[in-house]
Amino acid sequence: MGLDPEVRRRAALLRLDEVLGVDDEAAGPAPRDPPAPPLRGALDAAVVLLATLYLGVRHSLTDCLTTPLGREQLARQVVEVGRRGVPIVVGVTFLIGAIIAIQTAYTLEPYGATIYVARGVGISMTRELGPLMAAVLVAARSGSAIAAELGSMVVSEEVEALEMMALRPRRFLLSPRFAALTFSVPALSVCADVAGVLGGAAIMVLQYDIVARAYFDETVRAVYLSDIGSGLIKSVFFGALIAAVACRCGLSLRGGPEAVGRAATAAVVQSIVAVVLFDAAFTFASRGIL
Amino acid sequence: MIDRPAPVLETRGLVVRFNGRPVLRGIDLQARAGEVLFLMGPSGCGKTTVIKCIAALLQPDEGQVLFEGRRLEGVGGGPAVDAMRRATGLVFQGSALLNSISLAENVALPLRARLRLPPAAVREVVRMKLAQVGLLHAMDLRPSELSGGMRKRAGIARALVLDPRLLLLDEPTSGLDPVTSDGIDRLVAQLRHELGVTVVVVSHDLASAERVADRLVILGQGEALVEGTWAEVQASRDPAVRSFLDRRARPPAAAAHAAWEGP
Ligand SMILES: Nc1ncnc2c1ncn2[C@@H]1O[C@H](COP(=O)(O)OP(=O)(O)O)[C@@H](O)[C@H]1O
Ligand SMILES: [Mg+2]
Repeated sequence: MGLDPEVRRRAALLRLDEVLGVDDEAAGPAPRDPPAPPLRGALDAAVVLLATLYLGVRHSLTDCLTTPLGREQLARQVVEVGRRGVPIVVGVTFLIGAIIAIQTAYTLEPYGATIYVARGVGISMTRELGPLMAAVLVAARSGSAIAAELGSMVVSEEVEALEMMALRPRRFLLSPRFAALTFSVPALSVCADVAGVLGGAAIMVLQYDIVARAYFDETVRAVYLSDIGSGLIKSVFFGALIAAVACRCGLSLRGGPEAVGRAATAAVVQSIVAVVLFDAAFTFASRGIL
Repeated sequence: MIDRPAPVLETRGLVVRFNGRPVLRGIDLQARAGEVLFLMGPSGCGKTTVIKCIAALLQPDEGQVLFEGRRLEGVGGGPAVDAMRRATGLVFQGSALLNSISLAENVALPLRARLRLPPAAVREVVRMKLAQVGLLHAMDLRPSELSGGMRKRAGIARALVLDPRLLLLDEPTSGLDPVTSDGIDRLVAQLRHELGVTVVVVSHDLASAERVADRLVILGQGEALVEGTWAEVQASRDPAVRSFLDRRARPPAAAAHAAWEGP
């Protein structure tokens, strides 16, 4: 395959060789060729991203669960990405639920139908905004952190030090982050769904004299399990995408410490774009559009 | 003539180019069992590059590395590379400790990655190795909370934790105070004499080369300019070797001056 040699070397580090069909010998030479032209660079990046996704899907659970070191790394990442992400996700989506309630109430009030605000908030939070906001916040919070951490590990030769200990970057770095994100984003989405509904309820109860009980009954009537389910399925993919993009940006970093900041920025931008593109494709496909 | 021990480590014709610029132009090295080999030369001459090739972290464009008679192939690993890494401790020039975990956890990492020991045994070994480099008191600190010299020593403890047969030290004493560098020299000598460890030391430090090295190789322009014992190297007439060795003879200010002004 006509990949940039640097890409091939990074691929070998991640054990992408099996995916890309390059043997170790060919994967050899280290960063020493001039950078690829931009389009080639983007194509190479896309190939490595897809291969990273594939490796994550195929190996992350076994890598994490079979050794004490793997379980420890996974637990660390779940705490870092998932548990520490709860306050910001809950806070932001509570406000978003409240905002949607206000905007929807504004359209429905003339018809005396403000109770239907519960439907609008419930459905838009569970189907779309809960998972999406959770993913965007995780991309901003953890995508950048992961890319910066892995990038600075590349710069300070920590990745090579791990290689010396037979701790392959895939096993030790990619897999725990991949598994943690594919688990944490759906979990945070559930928090986001609940917080959004509560935010909507708070506005309606305090400002529009809707009885809390009625609001929640209406929500339960309007929101089907399939709404929640489709949101959660999407968010699993969101998590996987953010993990793959962030790990790729970090591990394929070239240059010195000054490149770490760029890697973090690239991880946030690329993972949000990837999440929204996937969301659009998923939504269009499931609604039979296109 | 008595048989010399077979080389533990051998490089044959290493050529490495960065962006088409040759950095190594055919390096042949041999380190025999239980020997301390010093790899010296001005900075930027490719010493770290040689070490990375030996550890199979960098694939040379040409040439090969043999460890205990087996050829190492590919940065991606393979049985020969893994066997070499299992038996090798590498101390990176910048220490390369993991910043997210404590010193003790850093030193424990190779053990936990390679062996299945009970946690108590891991702790025991870690304490022993940290004591060996005088860092027992700092075991719960993060690498970012340590001085450069402490980080270097912690890197050495990590490299020693699996009792390697080959130790690669990339500038272990650069930038350290004389007391600490003497300590590192003594540790190297001790490892060689008591445990028969083969040591390759990258260094600028002529004093410690004189004290500890069995043999020296001086690199320049991507080639080995001279190789031999301290006395043999001292006898060299090569101007590049002389300018490297004679730094010490001149008063420091004059030496610095000469270095800036060039030949
Ligand atoms: N990854 C790299 N990409 C491009 N050039 C490099 C790289 N690593 C080292 N070099 C160059 O190779 C030469 C040798 O570097 P190095 O082996 O680190 O020298 P030393 O350790 O002797 O100071 C230097 O000129 C350096 O600029
Ligand atoms: Mg160096």
